[in-house]
Amino acid sequence: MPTYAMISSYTVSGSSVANIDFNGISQNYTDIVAVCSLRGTQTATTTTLLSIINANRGNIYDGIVLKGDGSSGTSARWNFTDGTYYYAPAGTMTAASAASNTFSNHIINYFGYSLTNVNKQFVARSNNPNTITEAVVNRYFYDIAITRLTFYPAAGNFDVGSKITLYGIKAG
Amino acid sequence: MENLIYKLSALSEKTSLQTRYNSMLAGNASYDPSQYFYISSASISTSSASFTSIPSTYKHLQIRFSGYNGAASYGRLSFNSDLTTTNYKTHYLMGNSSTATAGGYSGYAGVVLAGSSGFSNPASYVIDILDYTSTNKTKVVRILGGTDQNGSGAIEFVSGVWLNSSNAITSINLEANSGSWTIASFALYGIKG
Repeated sequence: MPTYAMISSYTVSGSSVANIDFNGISQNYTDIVAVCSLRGTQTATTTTLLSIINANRGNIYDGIVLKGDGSSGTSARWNFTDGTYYYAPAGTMTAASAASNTFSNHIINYFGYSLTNVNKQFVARSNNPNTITEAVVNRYFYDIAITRLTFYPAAGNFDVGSKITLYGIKAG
Repeated sequence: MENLIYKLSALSEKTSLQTRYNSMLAGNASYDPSQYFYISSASISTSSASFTSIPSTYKHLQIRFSGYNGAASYGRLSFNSDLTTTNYKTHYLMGNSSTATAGGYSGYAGVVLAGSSGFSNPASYVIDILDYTSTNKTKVVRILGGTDQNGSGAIEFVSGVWLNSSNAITSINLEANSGSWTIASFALYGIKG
Protein backbone atom coordinates (compact mmCIF):
# COMPACT_ATOMS: atom_id res chain seq x y z
CA MET A 1 0.00 0.00 0.00
CA PRO A 2 1.58 3.36 -0.98
CA THR A 3 1.93 5.86 1.83
CA TYR A 4 4.05 8.93 2.69
CA ALA A 5 1.26 11.26 1.61
CA MET A 6 1.41 15.02 1.75
CA ILE A 7 -0.91 16.35 4.44
CA SER A 8 -0.28 20.05 4.04
CA SER A 9 2.33 22.44 2.73
CA TYR A 10 3.03 26.12 3.26
CA THR A 11 5.41 28.34 1.30
CA VAL A 12 6.16 31.87 2.46
CA SER A 13 5.45 34.25 -0.41
CA GLY A 14 5.01 37.99 -0.72
CA SER A 15 6.29 38.93 2.74
CA SER A 16 7.90 37.20 5.70
CA VAL A 17 5.81 35.52 8.38
CA ALA A 18 6.28 35.11 12.13
CA ASN A 19 5.31 31.46 12.18
CA ILE A 20 4.01 28.55 10.13
CA ASP A 21 1.06 26.78 11.66
CA PHE A 22 -0.55 23.45 10.78
CA ASN A 23 -3.84 23.00 12.61
CA GLY A 24 -6.40 20.21 12.45
CA ILE A 25 -3.80 17.60 11.50
CA SER A 26 -5.40 14.40 10.28
CA GLN A 27 -5.19 11.49 12.72
CA ASN A 28 -5.15 8.90 9.95
CA TYR A 29 -1.42 8.20 9.95
CA THR A 30 1.14 6.51 12.18
CA ASP A 31 3.96 9.04 11.93
CA ILE A 32 4.30 12.59 10.66
CA VAL A 33 7.34 13.98 8.91
CA ALA A 34 7.90 17.73 8.52
CA VAL A 35 10.26 18.58 5.67
CA CYS A 36 11.51 22.15 5.95
CA SER A 37 13.53 24.53 3.76
CA LEU A 38 14.02 27.67 5.84
CA ARG A 39 15.66 31.06 6.02
CA GLY A 40 15.06 33.73 8.66
CA THR A 41 14.99 37.51 8.47
CA GLN A 42 17.06 38.01 11.63
CA THR A 43 20.38 39.83 11.05
CA ALA A 44 22.62 36.91 11.85
CA THR A 45 23.96 33.94 9.97
CA THR A 46 21.78 31.52 11.91
CA THR A 47 18.87 31.39 14.28
CA THR A 48 17.11 28.52 16.01
CA LEU A 49 14.14 26.74 14.53
CA LEU A 50 11.52 26.37 17.26
CA SER A 51 8.38 24.28 17.37
CA ILE A 52 5.45 23.73 19.66
CA ILE A 53 2.79 21.02 19.83
CA ASN A 54 -0.93 21.69 20.16
CA ALA A 55 -0.29 25.41 20.72
CA ASN A 56 1.23 24.56 24.10
CA ARG A 57 4.03 26.93 25.09
CA GLY A 58 4.33 25.69 28.65
CA ASN A 59 7.44 24.27 30.26
CA ILE A 60 6.73 20.78 28.92
CA TYR A 61 9.54 20.17 26.42
CA ASP A 62 13.03 18.76 26.81
CA GLY A 63 15.62 18.04 24.16
CA ILE A 64 19.15 16.98 23.26
CA VAL A 65 21.25 18.15 20.33
CA LEU A 66 24.25 16.51 18.69
CA LYS A 67 26.05 19.10 16.61
CA GLY A 68 28.99 19.32 14.26
CA ASP A 69 30.11 22.84 13.40
CA GLY A 70 32.84 22.11 10.88
CA SER A 71 35.59 21.67 13.45
CA SER A 72 34.24 19.72 16.41
CA GLY A 73 31.32 17.68 17.64
CA THR A 74 29.33 18.60 20.74
CA SER A 75 26.18 17.57 22.55
CA ALA A 76 24.02 19.52 24.94
CA ARG A 77 20.63 19.60 26.55
CA TRP A 78 18.66 21.93 24.30
CA ASN A 79 15.67 23.87 25.57
CA PHE A 80 14.44 27.35 24.74
CA THR A 81 12.40 30.03 26.46
CA ASP A 82 11.86 33.65 25.56
CA GLY A 83 11.30 34.42 29.24
CA THR A 84 7.57 33.91 29.00
CA TYR A 85 6.98 30.86 26.83
CA TYR A 86 8.78 27.60 26.17
CA TYR A 87 9.54 26.01 22.82
CA ALA A 88 11.14 22.86 21.44
CA PRO A 89 14.29 23.64 19.40
CA ALA A 90 14.36 21.52 16.26
CA GLY A 91 17.54 22.72 14.54
CA THR A 92 19.68 25.66 13.50
CA MET A 93 18.27 27.47 10.51
CA THR A 94 19.81 29.93 8.06
CA ALA A 95 19.22 33.63 8.70
CA ALA A 96 19.59 36.91 6.85
CA SER A 97 23.36 37.40 7.10
CA ALA A 98 24.08 34.07 5.47
CA ALA A 99 24.94 33.94 1.79
CA SER A 100 21.99 34.88 -0.34
CA ASN A 101 19.73 32.13 -1.58
CA THR A 102 20.91 29.69 1.08
CA PHE A 103 18.26 27.85 3.03
CA SER A 104 18.69 25.25 5.74
CA ASN A 105 17.03 21.86 5.47
CA HIS A 106 15.33 20.09 8.35
CA ILE A 107 13.54 16.75 8.49
CA ILE A 108 11.55 16.29 11.67
CA ASN A 109 10.04 12.88 12.48
CA TYR A 110 7.10 12.72 14.91
CA PHE A 111 6.52 9.13 15.97
CA GLY A 112 3.14 7.70 17.00
CA TYR A 113 1.68 11.19 16.96
CA SER A 114 -1.92 10.05 17.40
CA LEU A 115 -1.27 7.71 20.32
CA THR A 116 -2.65 8.65 23.72
CA ASN A 117 -0.55 6.40 25.96
CA VAL A 118 2.93 7.75 25.46
CA ASN A 119 4.75 11.09 25.56
CA LYS A 120 5.32 12.51 22.10
CA GLN A 121 8.82 12.71 20.75
CA PHE A 122 10.47 13.95 17.59
CA VAL A 123 13.82 13.07 16.08
CA ALA A 124 15.18 15.59 13.62
CA ARG A 125 18.07 15.99 11.25
CA SER A 126 19.19 19.51 10.27
CA ASN A 127 21.60 20.61 7.58
CA ASN A 128 22.65 24.22 7.69
CA PRO A 129 24.88 25.51 4.89
CA ASN A 130 26.80 27.60 7.44
CA THR A 131 28.84 24.51 8.45
CA ILE A 132 26.36 23.15 11.00
CA THR A 133 24.91 19.66 10.89
CA GLU A 134 22.71 18.44 13.73
CA ALA A 135 20.58 15.68 15.09
CA VAL A 136 17.95 16.58 17.67
CA VAL A 137 15.60 14.64 19.90
CA ASN A 138 12.85 16.42 21.81
CA ARG A 139 10.14 15.12 24.09
CA TYR A 140 6.73 16.62 24.79
CA PHE A 141 5.56 15.59 28.24
CA TYR A 142 1.97 14.83 27.34
CA ASP A 143 0.33 11.67 26.05
CA ILE A 144 -2.34 13.44 24.02
CA ALA A 145 -2.45 13.19 20.24
CA ILE A 146 -0.76 15.87 18.16
CA THR A 147 -3.37 17.85 16.27
CA ARG A 148 -1.41 21.04 15.72
CA LEU A 149 2.20 21.91 14.96
CA THR A 150 3.56 25.45 14.89
CA PHE A 151 7.05 26.48 13.83
CA TYR A 152 8.87 29.74 14.66
CA PRO A 153 12.30 31.24 14.16
CA ALA A 154 13.81 32.18 17.54
CA ALA A 155 14.25 35.75 16.26
CA GLY A 156 12.82 37.54 13.27
CA ASN A 157 10.48 35.95 10.76
CA PHE A 158 10.53 33.17 8.21
CA ASP A 159 11.76 34.78 5.02
CA VAL A 160 10.07 34.58 1.63
CA GLY A 161 10.80 31.23 -0.01
CA SER A 162 10.76 29.28 3.24
CA LYS A 163 8.66 26.15 2.99
CA ILE A 164 7.39 23.44 5.33
CA THR A 165 5.57 20.34 4.11
CA LEU A 166 3.89 17.80 6.38
CA TYR A 167 3.75 14.20 5.26
CA GLY A 168 1.83 11.34 6.82
CA ILE A 169 3.14 7.77 6.94
CA LYS A 170 0.67 5.02 7.70
CA ALA A 171 1.50 1.55 8.93
CA GLY A 172 -1.45 -0.57 7.88
CA MET B 1 -6.93 9.07 -33.67
CA GLU B 2 -7.64 12.17 -31.69
CA ASN B 3 -10.39 13.97 -29.80
CA LEU B 4 -11.91 10.67 -28.70
CA ILE B 5 -12.25 11.41 -24.99
CA TYR B 6 -15.29 13.45 -23.99
CA LYS B 7 -16.05 15.16 -20.72
CA LEU B 8 -19.51 16.55 -19.97
CA SER B 9 -19.74 19.42 -17.52
CA ALA B 10 -23.14 20.58 -16.29
CA LEU B 11 -23.71 24.28 -16.96
CA SER B 12 -27.31 24.32 -15.78
CA GLU B 13 -30.19 21.88 -15.35
CA LYS B 14 -30.78 21.82 -19.09
CA THR B 15 -27.41 22.48 -20.68
CA SER B 16 -24.03 20.88 -20.53
CA LEU B 17 -20.62 21.53 -21.96
CA GLN B 18 -18.96 18.82 -23.98
CA THR B 19 -15.17 18.98 -24.12
CA ARG B 20 -13.06 16.69 -26.27
CA TYR B 21 -9.55 15.54 -25.32
CA ASN B 22 -6.78 13.53 -26.92
CA SER B 23 -5.68 12.10 -23.59
CA MET B 24 -7.43 9.79 -21.15
CA LEU B 25 -6.52 12.32 -18.47
CA ALA B 26 -9.31 14.52 -19.90
CA GLY B 27 -7.65 17.67 -18.67
CA ASN B 28 -6.88 16.31 -15.22
CA ALA B 29 -3.40 16.37 -13.72
CA SER B 30 -1.59 13.07 -13.88
CA TYR B 31 -1.49 11.01 -10.68
CA ASP B 32 2.00 10.47 -9.38
CA PRO B 33 1.78 7.69 -6.81
CA SER B 34 4.09 7.56 -3.83
CA GLN B 35 7.15 5.34 -4.18
CA TYR B 36 7.06 4.57 -0.45
CA PHE B 37 5.05 1.47 0.50
CA TYR B 38 3.86 -0.03 3.73
CA ILE B 39 4.93 -3.67 4.04
CA SER B 40 4.27 -4.84 7.58
CA SER B 41 4.08 -3.71 11.19
CA ALA B 42 4.01 -5.07 14.70
CA SER B 43 3.17 -3.77 18.15
CA ILE B 44 4.76 -5.93 20.76
CA SER B 45 5.56 -6.29 24.42
CA THR B 46 7.96 -9.18 24.04
CA SER B 47 11.67 -9.36 23.43
CA SER B 48 11.71 -9.20 19.65
CA ALA B 49 9.87 -8.23 16.52
CA SER B 50 10.39 -10.03 13.25
CA PHE B 51 9.60 -9.26 9.67
CA THR B 52 9.72 -12.35 7.50
CA SER B 53 9.19 -13.13 3.83
CA ILE B 54 10.14 -9.59 2.89
CA PRO B 55 9.34 -9.11 -0.79
CA SER B 56 12.25 -8.32 -3.10
CA THR B 57 10.24 -5.84 -5.15
CA TYR B 58 11.70 -2.69 -3.56
CA LYS B 59 15.03 -0.94 -3.84
CA HIS B 60 15.47 0.03 -0.19
CA LEU B 61 13.75 -0.68 3.13
CA GLN B 62 12.94 1.62 6.01
CA ILE B 63 11.98 0.63 9.54
CA ARG B 64 10.33 3.20 11.76
CA PHE B 65 10.56 2.02 15.33
CA SER B 66 9.54 3.51 18.64
CA GLY B 67 9.73 1.72 21.96
CA TYR B 68 11.77 1.25 25.07
CA ASN B 69 13.41 -1.47 27.02
CA GLY B 70 13.49 -0.90 30.75
CA ALA B 71 16.00 -3.69 31.26
CA ALA B 72 18.91 -1.38 30.50
CA SER B 73 19.62 -3.37 27.41
CA TYR B 74 20.44 -2.27 23.92
CA GLY B 75 18.46 -3.13 20.80
CA ARG B 76 19.89 -5.34 18.11
CA LEU B 77 19.03 -5.61 14.43
CA SER B 78 19.84 -8.86 12.64
CA PHE B 79 19.07 -10.31 9.24
CA ASN B 80 18.04 -13.68 7.81
CA SER B 81 18.31 -15.29 11.27
CA ASP B 82 22.08 -14.84 11.15
CA LEU B 83 23.35 -14.38 14.71
CA THR B 84 27.02 -14.84 13.85
CA THR B 85 28.71 -12.09 15.81
CA THR B 86 31.58 -11.66 13.34
CA ASN B 87 29.09 -10.80 10.61
CA TYR B 88 28.05 -7.45 12.08
CA LYS B 89 29.80 -4.15 12.70
CA THR B 90 28.36 -0.96 14.15
CA HIS B 91 29.76 2.56 14.35
CA TYR B 92 28.04 5.47 15.98
CA LEU B 93 28.22 9.16 16.73
CA MET B 94 26.20 9.87 19.87
CA GLY B 95 25.27 12.84 22.01
CA ASN B 96 24.08 12.32 25.57
CA SER B 97 23.21 15.96 26.41
CA SER B 98 26.71 16.76 27.66
CA THR B 99 29.30 15.16 25.36
CA ALA B 100 29.55 13.84 21.84
CA THR B 101 31.24 10.49 21.47
CA ALA B 102 32.05 8.19 18.60
CA GLY B 103 32.75 4.52 18.78
CA GLY B 104 32.01 1.11 17.46
CA TYR B 105 30.67 -2.31 18.35
CA SER B 106 31.83 -5.64 17.10
CA GLY B 107 31.20 -9.06 18.53
CA TYR B 108 27.46 -8.45 18.75
CA ALA B 109 24.88 -10.56 16.98
CA GLY B 110 23.46 -7.67 15.05
CA VAL B 111 23.69 -3.96 14.41
CA VAL B 112 23.51 -2.28 17.82
CA LEU B 113 21.02 0.45 18.76
CA ALA B 114 22.75 1.62 21.90
CA GLY B 115 20.52 4.63 22.48
CA SER B 116 17.49 2.46 23.19
CA SER B 117 18.82 1.08 26.42
CA GLY B 118 17.37 1.28 29.87
CA PHE B 119 14.99 4.16 29.54
CA SER B 120 11.42 4.76 30.63
CA ASN B 121 10.41 6.75 27.60
CA PRO B 122 10.52 5.37 24.08
CA ALA B 123 13.49 5.66 21.81
CA SER B 124 12.54 6.48 18.25
CA TYR B 125 14.48 5.36 15.20
CA VAL B 126 14.45 5.73 11.44
CA ILE B 127 16.42 2.80 10.03
CA ASP B 128 17.29 2.72 6.34
CA ILE B 129 18.51 -0.54 4.83
CA LEU B 130 20.00 0.21 1.44
CA ASP B 131 19.99 -2.08 -1.59
CA TYR B 132 18.73 -4.98 0.50
CA THR B 133 18.20 -7.33 -2.44
CA SER B 134 21.77 -7.15 -3.68
CA THR B 135 23.60 -10.46 -4.03
CA ASN B 136 27.03 -8.92 -4.50
CA LYS B 137 27.22 -6.19 -1.83
CA THR B 138 27.41 -6.26 1.92
CA LYS B 139 24.28 -4.69 3.41
CA VAL B 140 24.68 -1.25 4.93
CA VAL B 141 22.27 0.21 7.48
CA ARG B 142 21.89 3.92 8.19
CA ILE B 143 20.15 4.95 11.40
CA LEU B 144 19.00 8.17 13.03
CA GLY B 145 17.47 7.78 16.45
CA GLY B 146 17.22 9.00 19.98
CA THR B 147 15.33 9.34 23.19
CA ASP B 148 14.88 12.19 25.63
CA GLN B 149 14.63 11.40 29.34
CA ASN B 150 14.27 14.93 30.72
CA GLY B 151 17.89 15.69 31.39
CA SER B 152 19.43 12.54 30.03
CA GLY B 153 18.98 10.35 26.99
CA ALA B 154 20.75 10.09 23.68
CA ILE B 155 20.64 11.13 20.07
CA GLU B 156 22.73 9.17 17.61
CA PHE B 157 23.80 8.53 14.07
CA VAL B 158 24.56 4.88 13.49
CA SER B 159 26.17 3.08 10.58
CA GLY B 160 25.95 -0.69 10.55
CA VAL B 161 26.87 -3.45 8.18
CA TRP B 162 25.89 -7.05 7.73
CA LEU B 163 28.93 -8.70 6.16
CA ASN B 164 26.95 -10.85 3.80
CA SER B 165 27.25 -9.97 0.16
CA SER B 166 25.67 -13.00 -1.43
CA ASN B 167 22.18 -13.08 0.04
CA ALA B 168 19.29 -10.67 -0.25
CA ILE B 169 17.69 -9.72 3.04
CA THR B 170 14.47 -11.68 3.41
CA SER B 171 13.88 -11.37 7.13
CA ILE B 172 14.70 -8.86 9.87
CA ASN B 173 14.71 -9.32 13.62
CA LEU B 174 14.79 -6.40 16.03
CA GLU B 175 15.25 -7.59 19.56
CA ALA B 176 16.14 -6.39 23.00
CA ASN B 177 19.35 -8.03 24.15
CA SER B 178 17.60 -8.74 27.43
CA GLY B 179 14.19 -7.94 28.83
CA SER B 180 11.26 -6.90 26.68
CA TRP B 181 10.19 -3.95 24.63
CA THR B 182 7.47 -1.78 26.08
CA ILE B 183 4.99 0.35 24.16
CA ALA B 184 6.90 -0.65 21.10
CA SER B 185 5.79 -0.35 17.51
CA PHE B 186 7.71 -1.41 14.46
CA ALA B 187 6.76 -0.69 10.89
CA LEU B 188 8.53 -1.82 7.74
CA TYR B 189 8.29 0.15 4.52
CA GLY B 190 9.65 -0.40 1.03
CA ILE B 191 10.96 2.28 -1.28
CA LYS B 192 10.76 1.75 -5.02
CA GLY B 193 13.74 2.67 -7.15
